[in-house]
Amino acid sequence: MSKTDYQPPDDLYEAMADLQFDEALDSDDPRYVDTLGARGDFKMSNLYRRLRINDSDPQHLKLPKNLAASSYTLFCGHIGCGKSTELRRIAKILHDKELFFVVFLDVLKELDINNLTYADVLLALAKQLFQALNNENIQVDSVLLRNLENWFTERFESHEQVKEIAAEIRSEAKGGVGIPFLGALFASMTAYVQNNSTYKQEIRNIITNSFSQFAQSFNQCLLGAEKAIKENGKGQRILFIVDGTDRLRDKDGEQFFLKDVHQLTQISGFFVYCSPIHLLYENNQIHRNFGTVSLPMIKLHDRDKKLLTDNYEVMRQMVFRRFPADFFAQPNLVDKLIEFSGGCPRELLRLIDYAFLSVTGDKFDEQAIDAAINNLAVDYKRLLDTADYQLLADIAQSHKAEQNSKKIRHFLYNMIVLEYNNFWREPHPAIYRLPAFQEALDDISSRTV
Amino acid sequence: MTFHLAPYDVDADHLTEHLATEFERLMRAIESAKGFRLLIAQFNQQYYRDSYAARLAAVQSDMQFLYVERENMVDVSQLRRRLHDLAQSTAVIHVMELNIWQFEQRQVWIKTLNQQRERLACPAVLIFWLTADLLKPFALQAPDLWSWRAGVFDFTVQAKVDDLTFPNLEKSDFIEQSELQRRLQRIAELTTYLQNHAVSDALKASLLVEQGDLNSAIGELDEAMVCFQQTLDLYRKLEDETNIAEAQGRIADILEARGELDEALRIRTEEELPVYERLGDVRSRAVTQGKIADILQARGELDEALRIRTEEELPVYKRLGDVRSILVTQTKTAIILMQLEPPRRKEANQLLCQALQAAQQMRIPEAGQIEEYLQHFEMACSV
Repeated sequence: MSKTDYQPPDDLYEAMADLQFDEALDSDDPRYVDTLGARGDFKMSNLYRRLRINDSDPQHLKLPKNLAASSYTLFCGHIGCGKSTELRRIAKILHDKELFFVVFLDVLKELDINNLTYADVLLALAKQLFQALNNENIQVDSVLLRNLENWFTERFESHEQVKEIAAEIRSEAKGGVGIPFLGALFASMTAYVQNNSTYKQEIRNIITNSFSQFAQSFNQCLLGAEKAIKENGKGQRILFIVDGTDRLRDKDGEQFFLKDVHQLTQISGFFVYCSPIHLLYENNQIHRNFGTVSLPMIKLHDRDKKLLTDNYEVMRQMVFRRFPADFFAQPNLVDKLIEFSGGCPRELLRLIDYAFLSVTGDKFDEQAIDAAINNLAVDYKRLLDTADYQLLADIAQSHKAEQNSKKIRHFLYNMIVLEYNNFWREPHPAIYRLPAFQEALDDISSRTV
Repeated sequence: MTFHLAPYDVDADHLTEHLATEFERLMRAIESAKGFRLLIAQFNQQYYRDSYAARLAAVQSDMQFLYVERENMVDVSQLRRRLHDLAQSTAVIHVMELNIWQFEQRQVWIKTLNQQRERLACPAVLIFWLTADLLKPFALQAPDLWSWRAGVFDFTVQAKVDDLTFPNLEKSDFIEQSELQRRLQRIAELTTYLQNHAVSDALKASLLVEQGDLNSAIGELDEAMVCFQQTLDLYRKLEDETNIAEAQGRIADILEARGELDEALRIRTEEELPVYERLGDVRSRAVTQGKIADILQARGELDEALRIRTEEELPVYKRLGDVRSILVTQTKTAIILMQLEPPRRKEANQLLCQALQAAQQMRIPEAGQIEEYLQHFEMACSV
């Protein structure tokens, strides 16, 4: 359905049934609103340059000929700020014969985010790549696949703990060779890892213990695949985009992006990983190994508190493409929701969801909107200690971005503090509804008088 | 199955007189075999065991290696089946890593081998590589199988501490696992592919690296050097800093193998290390410093070698949680400690035991090598 044909449901309950604020929109979804212009100085050039794309003519993006580099980029931002939606758009734009053959992986769908290692992600990326090549009937010279096939034979088929599933995998591949075999192979291994089977840890151990061999073999396959892709007119290089890794919490995120970075960067190529915002401040090692591109929140006001009406209109469109304007008892109620979303698309949809729970008729009225904001405030109250309010009040006053303590990183990850363009920080607007926070603000004001 | 060995100039290979004699005897035993034959080869240094086996493989192509521990064989029946599978297409089978018998299963293994000896016999020459401490119980507890032996060959070496090396641990598993024939075939395959296909510089460099590694692994150092020089040129053209450093590292490896230590050291310190430091690649930096320590150790500069191991390498591997690199470094450190005057025995013993425990937990072949060192130094680990 084209965007012009699309109409949101005209029944509130039906519209609510369609509200899935945890799912990213596909690039051609009629509900999509282009928000990039509302995010301050952010430009997609930031990412394109990391990928060596020449965007001097935005209508005709191109890569340098014979581009041989590797690049590892973190696409950061608050949870729910729109990273996944934008990545899907980027994937579609960049999947072009003059640019990249894009291989997209959503780890939330393919793997277990609560128990994720670099080995799981690389297996899943291999699966996505070989299946994509197979679907496009792209053949790679067998010479260049041989080492990866041998890796499987040597490391799995002769390994006592996994040789049974190795035999099953071989059998499932139905005697295929080359790309079809490798696609089936990595699909099976990913499935075993995802389904928390008893073989999960053994598979991971084999990859860890033979990582050099795997990396060398896979890199050779990648070079062969890129040669074939170019010859088939399907792209100049392969670009891997990994979504969902921003959900990795604390130690898991640290393990994946810091401690295991050597393994991630041993695979040569172009990679974009979704990353939680707090990792930007974790330590300098992140910036040594990755380029970083941060998608800021939508800016609702400037530093003088003047409302940015164009950006409010962008967020209104996000609402109206799901809920027609006449679902709201008064027009200003939408703006109130936007104000307390802090410029975060997912928070805006969450507020609508909370408001629905308090609706008494068939429209969103002031009482329902207020109840939604108060309920969201209580959500954040649950995350806060008594001592946190003072720190938040300091941030509300200074908006400073220099503070980089563990507490600040915790605030950023949990959206207690929101970061905007040029590292301007503010407490989440809903927190202003909490009495303890107001007291802390009053306390600061009285000290500065 | 009969076959003929290619002529091999044992004298040219700088074996001691004793080892040369044993080698000739073994070749004669293989050449005269028709059908099943059991040969016992005694060794005390894994590096030399692998070296002699590779020499044999260089002159006799119809040969395979069966690694009992690496293939996770749990009982004799498995070993028997595997031997029979291999014997269908191979004339000579080296049976390695029988040090699985070190564990509590040892007596069970030996007795079962004796009981199943009739079914063990297959149409191939079996060479059981055993250390002295296994050979004696094998002879006593598997007397019937022992009586089938067509020869016992002594490949033990009296190495001084200075001669001890820890070979191939820094090389990737990719090379260690290939058999000689597969390596030669792969080299030929890569040569043909590069001659017949126009490929990108990056792909060509990748294939040349593999070719160079394979040549290096089979001792063709000149060929390897040619490959790595070409690789270096290509990566310079691509301005790929990391791969330039890695190519130079491979060239330094060849130079070290040839004994050209000064130039190897220069490359490590002036070409490789600065790149990794600039890129903040702490792991590659630590690996390179380890190789510098190897050279210094070979030159007798033990204090500096020890400092690098303990202050530069080990802390990095511990921070990265790289268990294998930790145990390798611990072992190399222990060797240095034993080379000091006077040797720091207690510390060395402690390090070797820590390394052994980690290697056993990981179930990797290095465990066997560490045990050999403990044996050589007459050390033990308390239970």
